Amino acid sequence: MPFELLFPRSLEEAWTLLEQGAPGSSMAMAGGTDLLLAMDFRRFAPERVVSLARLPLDTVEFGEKEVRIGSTVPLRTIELDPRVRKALPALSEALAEVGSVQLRHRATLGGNVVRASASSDLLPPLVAMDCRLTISSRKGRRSLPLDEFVEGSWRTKLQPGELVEDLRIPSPLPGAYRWQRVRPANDISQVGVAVVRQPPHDGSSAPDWRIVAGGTSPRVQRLRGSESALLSPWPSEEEIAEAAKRAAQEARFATDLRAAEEYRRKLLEALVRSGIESTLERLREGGGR
Amino acid sequence: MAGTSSRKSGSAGTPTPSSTETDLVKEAEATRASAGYHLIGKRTPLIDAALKVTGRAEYTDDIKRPGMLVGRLLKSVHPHARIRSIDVEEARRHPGVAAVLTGDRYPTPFGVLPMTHDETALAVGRVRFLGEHVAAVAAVDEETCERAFELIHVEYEPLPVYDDPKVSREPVPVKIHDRALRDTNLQKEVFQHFGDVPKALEGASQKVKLSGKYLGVSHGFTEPHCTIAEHTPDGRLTVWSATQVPHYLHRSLSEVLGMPMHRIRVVKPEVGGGFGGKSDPFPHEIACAALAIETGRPVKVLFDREDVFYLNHGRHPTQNDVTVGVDADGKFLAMDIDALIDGGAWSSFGVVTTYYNGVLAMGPYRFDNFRYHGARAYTNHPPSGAMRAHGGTNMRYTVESVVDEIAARMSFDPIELRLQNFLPPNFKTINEFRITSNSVRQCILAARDRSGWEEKYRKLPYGRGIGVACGFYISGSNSPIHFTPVFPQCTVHLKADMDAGVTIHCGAADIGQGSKTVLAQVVAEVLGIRMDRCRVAAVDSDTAPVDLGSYSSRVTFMMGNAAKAAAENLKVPLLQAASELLEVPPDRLEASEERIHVKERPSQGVPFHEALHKAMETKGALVASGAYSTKPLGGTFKGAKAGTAPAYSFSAYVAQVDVDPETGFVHVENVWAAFDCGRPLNPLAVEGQIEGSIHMGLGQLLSEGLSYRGARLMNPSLLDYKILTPMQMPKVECLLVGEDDPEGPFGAKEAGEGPLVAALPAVGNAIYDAIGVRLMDLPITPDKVLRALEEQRKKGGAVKPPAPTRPSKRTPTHGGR
Repeated sequence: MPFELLFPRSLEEAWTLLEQGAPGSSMAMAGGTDLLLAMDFRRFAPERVVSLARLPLDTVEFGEKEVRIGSTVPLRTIELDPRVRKALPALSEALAEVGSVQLRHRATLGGNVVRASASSDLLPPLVAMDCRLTISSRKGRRSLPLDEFVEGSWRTKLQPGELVEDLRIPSPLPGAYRWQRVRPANDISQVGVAVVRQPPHDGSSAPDWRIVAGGTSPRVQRLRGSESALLSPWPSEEEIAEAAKRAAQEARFATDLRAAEEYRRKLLEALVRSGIESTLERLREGGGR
Repeated sequence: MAGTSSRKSGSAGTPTPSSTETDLVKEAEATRASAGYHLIGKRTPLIDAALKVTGRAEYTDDIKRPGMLVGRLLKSVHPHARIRSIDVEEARRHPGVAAVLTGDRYPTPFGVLPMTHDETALAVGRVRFLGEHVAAVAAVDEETCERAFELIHVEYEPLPVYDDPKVSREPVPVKIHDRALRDTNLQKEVFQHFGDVPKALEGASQKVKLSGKYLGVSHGFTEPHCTIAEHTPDGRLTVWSATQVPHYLHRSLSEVLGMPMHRIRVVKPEVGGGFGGKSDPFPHEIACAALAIETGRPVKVLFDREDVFYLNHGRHPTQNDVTVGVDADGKFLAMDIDALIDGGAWSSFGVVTTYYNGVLAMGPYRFDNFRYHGARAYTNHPPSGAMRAHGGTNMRYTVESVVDEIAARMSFDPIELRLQNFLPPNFKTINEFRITSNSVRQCILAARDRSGWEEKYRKLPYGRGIGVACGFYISGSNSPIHFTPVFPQCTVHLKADMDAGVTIHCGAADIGQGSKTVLAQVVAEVLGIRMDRCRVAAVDSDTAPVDLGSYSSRVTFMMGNAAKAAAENLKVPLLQAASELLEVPPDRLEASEERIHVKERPSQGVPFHEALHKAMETKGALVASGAYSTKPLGGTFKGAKAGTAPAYSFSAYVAQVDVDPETGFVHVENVWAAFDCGRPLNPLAVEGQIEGSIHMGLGQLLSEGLSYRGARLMNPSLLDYKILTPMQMPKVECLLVGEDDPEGPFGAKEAGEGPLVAALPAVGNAIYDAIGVRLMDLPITPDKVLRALEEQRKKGGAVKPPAPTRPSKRTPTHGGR
């Protein structure tokens, strides 16, 4: 179906265009790798597609305590950024697994979180790292934790007229991302799991482990039972095994074409173990606490 | 791609033996090099490679005709239903719609095999699978076609849905086709018995039976189906189509449209892969032509990937049971087979498939007792058809697994067990196949020596393993599909004109496999000229003589022989002309290095173009023709012609795997692929076929499968139908050890389909070596591996199978022949 493709050059212009017409008749597009396909499959039929490509949202900035990634930075750019690789290994590892190199040159982090796919490889590490989004419209700006922003596949808290400006991620954060798929590229993960060791919060002395699984249910899931099995900064083999076991028990799974529930549980157990071990190994190599 | 090659330029003379063994690959290369061909056997990039990699090659979809309309086909939403009515009036009146056709316009049934015409251009009164075409629309653009679909009102009356071939075997209330056997939905049933299988099995000291289960698989070719048709005011119809069988398409168009063949022109542009998926004349090709006739304008029908999956014609979902009995020394006594294959809604090549599942099963082994019962069932699945190593792939996996299991149970090394049981060269099998050249022994010994088999088999750590399997395939079906009128299976025409170039006309369909390059190589070799003098003309039925098509691995063998004959015929007037110029009798002359010269004194000669121009003085452009037909082969019993071929390819593959016992993931690390295609005319292309076959075989083995819920196909997309990526390719070493075939062109045999069959069981047997479980339910996805490992743990622990204890002697690389 025909549509109008618009390239605003300022945020003000973009906000105005996104407000035009009935809700749903204007849609923002970052890389377009999901949106254009969805339009081809007749999931959406917007009258206006507002490209964010010419807005100043395409930079990665490293602050003292956080990284700010503009919503239209191509995944490939972030993936190849040595600072990201060093500071946010879980994200870097997940980025290298999205689609294919060609796709990653086009796709963006902002687009990926708004797509909010159940099988996204990026949501688990971002949620595990307490990523927050900056959302703006003509009415103003707001900041929202990613975990709250995502409601389900193609469903988020983004309101008509709003766009995602950037993602803010506390940095550095040691961690790892583990996944399995039938094919290493051009495929969707059967299970993906991010393990991140957050620094101690709220006066606590113990680090705060985060274990977040994707590809298994309509929404990414934080596995708190699994996290709570990790009692120390350097968990023992028994603790790791227990965390893996609990993860497999508590995660909510679906059976679909890509894998059966039963298999996903077994897989998750193996991947959580490997993710924790790899995080610890990185910490040791980096001389971490 | 991770494929590598071990090939080195062969030097004539005695090959250098390695420290302990003769290197069979080097020896074969040296033998071949001694023949002294200037082009044959040289690694030759395909002559259309530059056009293809720069995007300049013209595929059907690249063709644009003035005023061309878009044709689309409305798919049935029921797997089995009567069509009570179709109302297309509203769609016809919709602006931009040029024509809407339904099945009643051209109801003549057709099909690739003359005895099983059960397809129609569009559904006539009934749909038999979800996705069958019920109406055809030609309009100004795709959106208008889609809008017209919404305005077509089809009233369906659902019928019982058959999605299980086991049910199709029993008496059924509704037959899918009237021609189904008895009161069942069986399309074809085959019984064959040679020797006395029950008696031989009774006397066997070991009997092994395995049952294999195989999902259907898709060819996964790159280019979706595409057809353009144009009916011009001179009363002629031109059809451009992505097809492997231009001649069968030509016949079907004529039959269904009621138009004589001479008024129809079929053109095959470049084809982006077929693998059997373009080897039937298809309903959409005929519907496209019908739309062109109806509108008087050119019409293009281009499939999307979903359309391709619904048209299917892929490998049959299969269940097969194979029992083999052996004596105490490991000699194979008898093979007993039962196969049930799901043909889907149409016959397609089904009669052939049903035979092939049995007659090709003995493969490279000698059996004196053989029994086969095979049945192909109609179901309401999209039709199955021919796919690379048609009828020889699923059966091969079960058979080679059985052989591996016999070796394990009787404590033989599986290579030694096979060596005792191979067919010799020049032999007539129990089912009367004439075996001529056969280098399967060299294949298995080369694969053994190159893979380091003896240091690895049963000796790698748990989780890693090595396995072996053999292969066998026809090098061209001996029997043509059509028996009337009688004409050669392939004809080649040559024309040499003033410009000293040679134009080659042949109907053989290059679908990416490189047959055009073989044509140029063969003609240039015979005429002693550079290959760039040879131009291979497009396949166009107006100018190219008939070739039966690219199927059954027949092209190199049959087209190669026809091209060789044509070039020999073209050489006669050239030698005659040179003879006049040189005043030397023609029988003392030969053509080489762009010259025609005295055999024993090469300095005395004339350039090719001078001889040509002399010959043309009175005759004009030189034209010559060459043809090839197979000799009669096979027995006189029912079905005796099935599987007969003028030659057979043989192979032995060794694969090495790494299985993760935690995730069940199978990583294939290496494949040593020893293949006997006789003399490889173009080793580069043969290696391409082997590497591509391994990629395709591993896909079927590990991840590909058409998944149905009832009769609904669940994964008609390349995201959910998992073709492996190049990242998963193992390291491939191609070992070309064949000897010259006595009847093949320059000694060549096929290398298109045979390279596939051993890949799957070699890996399956390697998985058994790695973790001790035998997986017979394809694809072997990681969850199945984990489940099998759990079963194994319940039975007493995950361990590698024990090492063989006999025989003590190891067959030397040369010996026992």
